Amino acid sequence: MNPVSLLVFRFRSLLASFTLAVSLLCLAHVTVFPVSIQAAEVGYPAAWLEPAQTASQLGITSFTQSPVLDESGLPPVAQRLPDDPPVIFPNDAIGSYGGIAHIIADDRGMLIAADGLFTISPDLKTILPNLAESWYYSDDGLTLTVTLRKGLKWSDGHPLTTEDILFTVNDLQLNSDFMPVTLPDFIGLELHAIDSWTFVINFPKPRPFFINYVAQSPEYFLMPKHYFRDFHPEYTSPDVIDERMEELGFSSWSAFMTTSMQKRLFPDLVNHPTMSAFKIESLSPGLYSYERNPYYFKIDPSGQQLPYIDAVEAQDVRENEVAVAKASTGQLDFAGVRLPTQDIPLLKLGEQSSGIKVNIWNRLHGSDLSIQANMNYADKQKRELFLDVRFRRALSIAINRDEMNEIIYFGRGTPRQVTVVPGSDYFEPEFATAWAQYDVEAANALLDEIGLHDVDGDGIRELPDGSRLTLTVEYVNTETPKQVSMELVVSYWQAVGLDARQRLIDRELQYSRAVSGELEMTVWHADRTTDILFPINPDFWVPRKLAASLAMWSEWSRWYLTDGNLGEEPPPNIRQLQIWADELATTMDRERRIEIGKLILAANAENLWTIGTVGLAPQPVVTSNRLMNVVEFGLWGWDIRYTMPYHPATWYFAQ
Amino acid sequence: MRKYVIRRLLGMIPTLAIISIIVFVVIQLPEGDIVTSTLDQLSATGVDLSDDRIQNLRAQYNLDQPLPVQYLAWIGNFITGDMGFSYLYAQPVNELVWERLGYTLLITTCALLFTWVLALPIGIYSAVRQYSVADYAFTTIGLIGLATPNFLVALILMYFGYTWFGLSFGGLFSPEYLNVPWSWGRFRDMLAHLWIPVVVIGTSGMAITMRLMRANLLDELKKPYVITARAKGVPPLKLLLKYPVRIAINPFISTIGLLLPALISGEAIVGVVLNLPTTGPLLVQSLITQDMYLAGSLIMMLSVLTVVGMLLSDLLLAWVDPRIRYERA
Repeated sequence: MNPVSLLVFRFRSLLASFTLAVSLLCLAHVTVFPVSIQAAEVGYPAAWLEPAQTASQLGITSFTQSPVLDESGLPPVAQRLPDDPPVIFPNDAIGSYGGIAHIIADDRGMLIAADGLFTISPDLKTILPNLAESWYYSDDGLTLTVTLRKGLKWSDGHPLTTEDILFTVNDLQLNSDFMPVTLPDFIGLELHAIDSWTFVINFPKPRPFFINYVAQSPEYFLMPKHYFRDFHPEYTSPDVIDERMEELGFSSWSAFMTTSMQKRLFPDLVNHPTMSAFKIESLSPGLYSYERNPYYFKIDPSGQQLPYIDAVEAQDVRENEVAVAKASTGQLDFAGVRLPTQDIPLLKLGEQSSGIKVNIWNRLHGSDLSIQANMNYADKQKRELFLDVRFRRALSIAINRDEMNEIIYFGRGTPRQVTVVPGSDYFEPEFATAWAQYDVEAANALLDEIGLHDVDGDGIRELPDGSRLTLTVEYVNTETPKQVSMELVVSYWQAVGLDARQRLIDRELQYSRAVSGELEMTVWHADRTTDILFPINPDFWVPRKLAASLAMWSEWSRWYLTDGNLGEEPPPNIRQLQIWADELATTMDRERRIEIGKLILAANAENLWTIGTVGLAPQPVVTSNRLMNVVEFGLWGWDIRYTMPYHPATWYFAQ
Repeated sequence: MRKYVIRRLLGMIPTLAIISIIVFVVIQLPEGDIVTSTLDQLSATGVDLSDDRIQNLRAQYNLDQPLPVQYLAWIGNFITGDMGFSYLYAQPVNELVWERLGYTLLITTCALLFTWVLALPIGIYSAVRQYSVADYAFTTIGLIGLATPNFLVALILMYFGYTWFGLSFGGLFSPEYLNVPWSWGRFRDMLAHLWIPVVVIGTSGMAITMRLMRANLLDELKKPYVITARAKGVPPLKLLLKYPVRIAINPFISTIGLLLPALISGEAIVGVVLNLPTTGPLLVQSLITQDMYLAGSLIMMLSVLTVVGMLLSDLLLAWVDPRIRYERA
């Protein structure tokens, strides 16, 4: 770690303890929480669970627009909307136009939901039409035919057609200059257009969940060809492109295009057409201003073009503490991503004085912590130990999850293993509860059985050969409350005689060490646990990916990824998992799919490849009192892009 | 004299060349690079740091080239005034730096003036009235200021700024003035916010300045020439300001050189907490993410300013203090 980041790091922990002290002070005053609302009881509009009806189906014939567009000189709203616009029902009430929403930059993806070909239902399972009107798979799952809505337009008024999709996939994702390593989801795809609204994707093997991927990562499928063709060597001469890149400072057109695709905030972004409800209007140091997209394609049931809100101002806030302070004093209209669970009391205090609403959503993480012991670790003795299922079980049952839930989550989380969320088709209750009971005696018995005894009488267990045993957990304290959790976990392990230690490391180190298998033990958060992403990314249960989040079996993953050329051949039971995962992603038989998914999860329940602590944790979501139509309870997570199913375009300001 | 300046200027070239190499190498020393850290930022929104994406980005950003090639490309452009491209912000470093430099200079200059206007007179007073009640009081306040971490003062002032004056948290402007052209109202709004960073940054240097001034002056006040002058009936204030203060102030002049780089990096942590649109947070961010062109260029700017500043200090000192001039001649 370099000196400055070290300084920042130290200062962060100081800051954190200061905030903790303040929170504790506040806890003394605030003790009452509203009773948790269960997802099932939440009354979302029924329309959200179905494909959106269109204006013609509902008999809407006249359309209106925000008054700010009246003098804009644009074509009339009816011409800007698609031929038959989809109608989105608001959560509570029909809204009215106007207002600027103030948020911090990290929440912009939540207030300005990504709009892609498909969208995700709040049931966390169903993929619904969005820009695409319909689609169907061939029976063998090898062909997907998608039809776009007619008359869709980019934010500059240019029509959206199959050309744009073809450009994004054929000229970018499958272009070896742009993507030297083709992303696994695109390998072998063949795309062609039937007409301006219909295109066909041919897969090399069945891909029933391809639409999940498109719905969840719309950015990778939607680039405006009419804008970006001027930057692409297929359409523009290299000299012209070089000149443009020189001007913008980019080293290559592909770097420029990647930056655009990632929706990074950079100056040229103001020129890029978008399909989202808002388009960026200006960037200045620390502030990003968005204005409404006058060509946005959705309307409300009274024929008003969405969104209701006219503009968004997003401030760059780098410190969580400042984000919390701003949110709790009512300076933000919407905040979520930078609000730690621990600050709920502080925010609740603000609720009484600052005109804000603090809603407690549930995080979609199957478990806030995924504790991983490296079963491919270089040290032979450690590796053997970690490969021993009794050891992993002992580690798990030594953890007092109820106490963690009380101390860290105010009792509002759910103690559970790393597995899918309860509403999932693949869920069985025992996947969450297996080896999750708190049983010190049994843990001690298991450790004794393995031969880890306290030989020298210092209260700490030694390895069977009498040599010293220390467990070092190295991790990055990010996204979920890992540090405070690990402090407890380490104390539980010490209580059963294990010399456990923890160490925070740099993010870079986490990545490089995880991928090269150098982390002895680590911690990540278990996302990808809904039916949207689990079937395509069963990452925590099957070794098939090299990533910062997966440090327990890098060599088996490498073996899988390189078709056996590199890495280590996994033992038969692990190999079976990989075979199952391949079948899960490709089978068109729904029954079989669920059967395999459950087999994979059951294997984890039995073997604990990774150990969970508390999941479905409370996530504070703060809104200003004037912001209406935000759901009171939702699920918060990457799988559904945080707010995608809850239609932020329908949020409005009370007059 | 001119010869001396030219010699010093020429001497800077190898110094800066060595610094540039060290900077570039040190930035690259830790594991990972800008690609893993930008992806990591994206992973706050859930993108996983998977191997294939990282390889693609490295190739796109020419990060797969050997280090010396990258260094030569960077330093060659730096000399011609092109500071390269910030991967983190996806724009040329020049644009990034210049648009923030104005605010940085404004805040740090105000803070410096704030420090000196308060600390120097207090230091003088404390020395003249050593061990008086006021001396103890100022010393205590000054030491508390020195001992309290900057960011804590920033947080506390932000809190009071909000509860007493209704100021928004952080930044230099209220939300309604954030994105409008300059006007009288916007200027006043900025002044209303400006005092927080100025006080925070100013107080951190206050105690040291105060105590240094006090100590230096105490040394001088005991010297025979002061006693002689006093005995001869020179008016006390004139005596104080014309002789001992002038000498006691020398150490400050010799550190003016160090103030130049502090103008850019001094408010880093405070800038992060207060969300200031200044260069400090830019530097911190670029170092954390190993955005090498941005970090390298900022540090090179700091180095140039330090080296130039030291020269300026020496010249200024020679100008203020005749003794130094005579020694050198």
